[in-house]
Parts: sequence; C-alpha cells; structure tokens
Amino acid sequence: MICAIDFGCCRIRSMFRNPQTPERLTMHSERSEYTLLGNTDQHRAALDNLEVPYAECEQALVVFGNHAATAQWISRVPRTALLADGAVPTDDPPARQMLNLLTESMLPAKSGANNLCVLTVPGLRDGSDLAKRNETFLCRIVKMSGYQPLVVNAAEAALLATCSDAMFTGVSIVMGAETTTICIARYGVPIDSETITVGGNWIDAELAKQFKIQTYDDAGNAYLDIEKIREWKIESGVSLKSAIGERERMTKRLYTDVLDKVAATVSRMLASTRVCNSLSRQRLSVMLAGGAAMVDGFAEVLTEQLIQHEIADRVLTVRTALDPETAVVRGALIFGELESRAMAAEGAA
Amino acid sequence: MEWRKSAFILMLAAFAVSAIGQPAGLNTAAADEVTVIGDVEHFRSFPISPGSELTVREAVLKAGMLSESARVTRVRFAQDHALSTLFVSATSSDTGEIVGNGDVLMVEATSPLRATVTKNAALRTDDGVKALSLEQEGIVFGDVLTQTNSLPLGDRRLRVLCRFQGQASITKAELYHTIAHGDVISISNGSQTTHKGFGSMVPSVSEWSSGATTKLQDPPGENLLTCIEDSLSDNGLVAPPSHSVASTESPMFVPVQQSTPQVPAPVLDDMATYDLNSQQSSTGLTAMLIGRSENVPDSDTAGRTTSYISEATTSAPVAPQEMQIGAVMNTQSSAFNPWNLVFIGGLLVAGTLILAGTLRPEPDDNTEFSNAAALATDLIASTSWQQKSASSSQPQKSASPAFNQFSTRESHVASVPTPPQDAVVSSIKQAIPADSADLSVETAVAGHEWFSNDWRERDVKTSRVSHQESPGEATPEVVSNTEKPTAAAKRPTARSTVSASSVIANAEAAKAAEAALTDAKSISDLDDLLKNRLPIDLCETQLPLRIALFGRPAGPRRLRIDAAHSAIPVPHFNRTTEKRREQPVAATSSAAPVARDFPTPPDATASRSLDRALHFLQERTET
Repeated sequence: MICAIDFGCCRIRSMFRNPQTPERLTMHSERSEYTLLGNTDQHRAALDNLEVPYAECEQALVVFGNHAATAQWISRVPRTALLADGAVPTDDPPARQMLNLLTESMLPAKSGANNLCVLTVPGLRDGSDLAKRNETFLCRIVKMSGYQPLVVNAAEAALLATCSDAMFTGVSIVMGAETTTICIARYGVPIDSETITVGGNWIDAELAKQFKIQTYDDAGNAYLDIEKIREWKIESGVSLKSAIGERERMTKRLYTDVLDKVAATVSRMLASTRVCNSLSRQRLSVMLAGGAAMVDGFAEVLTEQLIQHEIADRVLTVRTALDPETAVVRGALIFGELESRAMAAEGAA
Repeated sequence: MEWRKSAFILMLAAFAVSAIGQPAGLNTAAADEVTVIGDVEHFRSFPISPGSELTVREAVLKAGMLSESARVTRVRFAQDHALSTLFVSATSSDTGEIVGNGDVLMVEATSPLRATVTKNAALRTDDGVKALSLEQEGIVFGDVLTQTNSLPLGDRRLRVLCRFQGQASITKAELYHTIAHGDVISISNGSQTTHKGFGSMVPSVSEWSSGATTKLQDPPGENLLTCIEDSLSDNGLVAPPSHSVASTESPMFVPVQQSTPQVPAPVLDDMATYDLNSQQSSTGLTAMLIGRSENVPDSDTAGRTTSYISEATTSAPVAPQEMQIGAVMNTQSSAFNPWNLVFIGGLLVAGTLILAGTLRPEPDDNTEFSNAAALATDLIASTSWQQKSASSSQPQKSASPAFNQFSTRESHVASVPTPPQDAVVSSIKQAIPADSADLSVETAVAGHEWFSNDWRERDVKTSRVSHQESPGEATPEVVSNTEKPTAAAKRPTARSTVSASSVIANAEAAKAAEAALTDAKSISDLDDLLKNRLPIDLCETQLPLRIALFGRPAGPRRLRIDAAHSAIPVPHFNRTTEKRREQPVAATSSAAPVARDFPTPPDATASRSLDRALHFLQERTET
C-alpha cells in the first residue's frame, strides 16, 4: 500500500488508491486545529448530543479535526492550530497526541509487503533542531501506523503533480498557511529549494490586525479572528487584479509584499551556480499551488513581481494548478508510486 | 556498348575504393563498444578493448559524471528493456557489473548537476548504437530518423526502450513524438517480406521523407550505381534510368525494405550530420548532432494537419489524422506509370461511391464511410486484377448501396479464379472469430486495410494472423490484399494457414499481449495520476468518539496580555498649567524607563499629599 499525507498548517490531507477501486483516489481531509472547551457537564452533554468526537484533557475538552468547526459555537474561543507557526508544538502535549490520532485515522490500513507513506513536513527544513524535531516526530507517528515514512518537499511534490507537461522541469511554488516553499527541478530532480516563513496566515493575521477583527472570550481576552478573514476572502471572492475597497487593497498590498519576497528568492535561486549548471538559460514554467495561491489574480501579481526582479525572460509561463489545494498530496502520492517502482526495479535487478 | 563497359568498370572501381576506404565505424560494429548517454559530460560510444572488461561504473566514470550520484540504467543490445538499474557515485564501490557490446547506459543524475549538460539520446538500430546530441528544443523522432537515414521505417518498429524516471512513457512511438533527454530509441527490424499500403504506395507517414531519403536507403552497390548513372545522365551519356527496376516492372509493389546494414550515404546539405566513421577516436565516438526540422515549427501541438508530402520534404512528420486521406507515389518513375491512371480511375469510382454512401438516407452508423472506403479499396484492387486477368466482375444490383458494396466485394472474390491475396484475406476471416463469419458491417472493412479509419490499431489485431510466418516477431504485420501476387502465391492456402502452429503462436501472442496490457495499464494508471485524471473520493475520517489525552492544552494565542503593573501609578490631578509643565507627573508614572531616569524622591508621598491639598484649596478659592 502506498499512501501520502500532507501535514499542512491549515489542513491535513491523506491520499491513496483504494485497492478495491484503483481507478479512483481516496482522500481524507481534516482541519489541523482544535477547539478548546471548558470541562463541564454541560459541554460534555452538548457534544454527546451532537455526536461530536472529543477528547478529555486536563481541565478542558478538545474537539479536533473537522469537528472543531462544528463545536466552535460552544466555545467563543478561536480554534487552535495543531501545527502553530509551522511546527509541532512542544508546549502543547494534547496537540501532539491529536496529531497522532488524526494520522492514524487518516492513513489506510497497511496491506502487502511494501507499505510506503510519503509525507510533507511543515515549516522550515533548514537542518535546525526545530526542523529535525518536526520531521522526527511526524515520521514516528507515520511509523506507528505501520508505514515506512518518506519525506518529500511540498514544492517538489507539487511539481510532480502539475508539471508533467513540462517534463517535470520548472519552478514550483507552494504557498501554504505558514510557509511558502519554492523548488526548482530538472526532470523531476530538485536542484534547489527554499522555504520562506511567510504564508497565507501572515496575510490574514495582518488584515485582522489592520482592521481590528477580533473576538473575545468570556474573560474579556481578545483574539485575532483569522477565521473571519478567511471566510470573507472566500465569500466575497477577493480579486487581486481589481481590488475594490480598502480591505481588498490592503490584501493586494500584503500579497504583493509576500510575492515580492518570493520573486526575489526565485531570482536568487536562478542565479545560483547549481541552477545555472543544470538549466543554463532555459526558460521555465512556474507552477503555483497551495491554499493561499487560490485567490484570484495571484498569478498576475507574481508575474508583475517577476518582471520587477528582471527574471521574466527566464519564465515561460506562470500557471496556477488546477487543484491547488490537493496538488501537494497528489504529488506526494506520485512520488511514492515512482519510488515504489524504482525500489521494485532495484529489487528485481 | 562502350559506355556501358566504362560505366561498369567505373562502378566496380568506385565500389572497391569505397569498400576499402570504409573504416570500422558504428555501422560495421567491428569492435565492442558501449554507449553512455544522459547526464554525463561525454555522451558517446566507448570502445571496449579486446580481452579486457569494462564495468558499468568504469564506463560511467569514463564518460564523466556531472553529479555526485546518478542512477544508471543498462539496456542490453539484444533486449528491449532495461536490464538493471544501479546507483553510481564517485565514492561508491564498483559492483563489478560488466558491460557488453552494444549496451546502452543511461545515466540519470540524482543530485544537482555540476555543469551544464547537453541534451542527448541514443538510437539503437540493427547496425549499432548511435549517441545523439539534441541541442535544439522540440526535436522529434522523425528528425532523428531522417538525419540518421532510418526512414522510411517500413515494417521496422520504432520504440522508446528507456526514459528518464518520471517521464511519461511512450507505449507506441510515433514520428511526431518529441524526443527527450536520455531517451533510448530502438528501431527493430521486422520481416522483409511484408508490404504495407496499397499498390506502390505506402502510408503517408512512412513516406514523408521519400525521394532523396529513399535513395539513401538503397544498398551501397545500388546507391553507387544510381549515383554513377545520375552523373552520366547529367553528362548526357545515358538516358535517365528509372530508380528501381522492380518498380518499373511491377509498379504496384512496394519496394522491399533492405535488411542489410545501411551505410551512411552522402547526406543532404541541410542535414547537420557528421560522418560518424571519420569521427572515431581512441577515446570513443562522438555523438551525432541532430537538428530540428525548420518547417515544422511546433510539432508538439495537437492541432497539426496532415498534408501530402512532396519528394523534397525533409520536415518532421506530422501526427496522423483519424483517417489517412491519401498517399503519394513512392518513386518518381511511377509518376507517369499507366497504373496511376488506373488508380486515379479507381479513386474516382471510390469517390462516387463515397458520395453515394453519404447521400444514402438514414445512415445506420458511422461505419458507412468505412464501408465505402473499403469498397473503394476493393474496387481499386479488382480493377488492377481485371487488368491482369482480363476478367470482369459486374456489381450486382441491390436496393442498398451498402449491400451493393458487399455484393461487389463478394463478386470480386468469386470472379477472380485464384487470387492469392484473396486467399490471405479469407484466411484472416477464418482466423478471426465468428464476428467475421458472415458478411456483417464489420467485415466490410477488413481490419488490415489502411484505407479504413483506424488501420493503425487494426494492425495489431491482424498480427495474430501474420505471426504464423514469424511467430517470434513482435512487430505487427499487415496482410494486405494488395500484395505482390508472386509473393502471395508462395503462401499456403487459406485453410492451411490456420494450423496448430498458428494456434500456438496465437496463444503466445495472447500471453504477450496480456503482459503488455498489464504493463500498459500500470503505466496508464500512473499517467492518469500524473495528469490528474483520476477522480477523488473525499471520505470522512472516523475519529475516536471519546478519548482521554494527557496534559493541558495551550489553547489559542491571545492577542494581548498586559503584564501586571509593578507599581500603582500616581493619580492624575488637574493642576495649573505652569505646574504641569514643571513636573510631568503622568509621564513619569506610566513608563518604567522614564521612571528609572527620574527616580521618585523618598518623600514623594508627602509631596503628593501636599499637592492634593494645595489643589483643593486653589479650587475652593477660585469658586
């Protein structure tokens, strides 16, 4: 069994081929957050009545996964990210246990001899202690489900999923909730990759700060209501091409700031020796994926930034993936299938 | 007769000189050699010294690795698939795997390259392996075959044996497919006795580079003879001879593909082809530079059109349309052949019948056009037979044009006494199961007829019949009712063709087809996944209903938490303007750094009380 799981800071997605229906893909998608409730009989009774799965912690009840949104109305406290700041929390033991529960529930039962699970690790992968801890923890919980873990870069996975027509050669940019990952690959082999610690959550948080979109709990504590910003972006159909209103203009400005940083990074990567050696002056396709890249006009703003950074001549096209949200997990599954075939070929040889 | 003697002597002398001057090169394959392509510095063939052995790692290092590590795929000369894959790096130990003569090693970098690599590929023919340098973008297989003088393909089969990992595999290579870096292309030679197409024509895809290219395919002696004759003709010594004796004698026959190794003949000026033999050195053979045809600017686009190919066409081929409209004559000499008139007449009749079929009220389905096309094919064939046997076959009158077509076909079969090609056709009918037992609509167009819409696909279907002649040959063969009568006459009768050996061959072919189908399905599954064609079922995750977790959750991050004040700030009093200027009470009390700069005196409490009292008094005085 080959499966893939994408540990995103907004959602965790898993994908695999069902052995009964190999011509279809099965996907699980759960919010990587939990809702905190008071540990009272009333709350427990309400959750029981709603048949919402919950966990009992020290002095609190927590509802995690997609049910967190269902139980949101009971709490008034904003939901808590399981992978806050793109890292496995060290000061939140229940969150780590919830990650394990979600992983166990989302991965299929292992079958056969070759059980391979390709996973993406959120946050920076710079070899720091934090990065190593993240990777080790997530690999361990995958192993606990009976799979051999295999870590893949999110942008590399997205490239496999979206750049087949470009022979898997080009620039892949995945803008997630907490980070933006950039990968330049040649024939599917990554040449250079970088991660910027800015993602969609930063834009939403800045918007919430600028416009004072907050929520308060019973004790009067204030929280940024990022969920409201997300809902506004979806419901109003924000367009970066023709920003109308102050909030949209602010959104465009924030996106421009982020994409300016992305374009600068791409420019630096293209000028690096490794990329020059491998790709020379070849024009590359830029493929965009990730939840934050779904906003209308994202590709146009990035194109403007690429022009400003004088690397437009190196770019063939700037395209958004047809499935920006699921491209990473699908690419991870492709990576797993390719790796499995390679392993089988090596074994046969 | 004198000039004939001179010409003959000249021919012999030139042939001898060319034979002596012919160095051992790729085509002769005198010495053992291995070809290394892919992400290497020197992609070319490396000779293996006699008596010595060369390992895969040594060969790759000899070619110059451009990355820290690489995946090396080895394709043996006699095999059509990758034999083994191993990882090679500068620090890895040598596994001792020995390369053999004609092996191709495809090196795929698994780490970033240190230097720019030129796109390259390998072409394996019966003559040997050639390393190709692809410096331009969009080079298609047709370009390679043209510039390596491998066209027309005839009954040879073009395949891609090996590609870089992750690239979409090409199950059925066509001339318009773009060649990718690291591709190992194979042209395997098939049976030489099978002919395709109709009369002296071949399908247009195979003849897009006819003319000069066809001339290059001739064997050395014939080629030389042609050159000598051409030169003599230019000098006015002799009359322009026909290109092919066979085509003159029997213009309806397709020239047989030569199975002998092809010696690179003088190439066209616009072909950037090096003489490989002269490029041989002690370190290996340089790669052949392949350019892209200029008159096919975008051969990858799907919206290309099929066109008639002229003699001078050297462009890359185009994708076949759903139906091949027609083809041109293969040789120049046949342009004025009387058989062409017969063919044109046949086409006219076919056109009439197609028109009649189109005008038929309430056509049943789309097979009508194919029926008309089949009828046209039969009519053309029967016309040619009528010319030979001086017999006539009158079509029977019927109410339906379709039935008329069937009747014509049957009457043709009945009228011609023993036409060998019809025996083959009937053998096909018997070999194909009951679906062709009666004259149904499907049988109106035989699967092997190139004139029908999907003749290419049907080639595979009819291959089980043709396998009786060469069971081990994987190349699908097309048995056409337009074959050379003499060749077809040597074949057994229709009954005898369906023998036990053919059944065994059919079973083997079925097994091979099943295995190929499994592989193709696997590849197709991955391709669907790559191209996002697989539907996704979003399933609900079953989470545990109640569970106990250890520890205390951190909860959401608060927007602002005010730290506890270390000291109670002094009250703000409404004082006079002068006094407020003198002592900024609020500033000193609210900010800690300021408080540190202006420490509160020890008697602050007393002074504040005094201030309060004075202020109270002042207010009372004013009121």
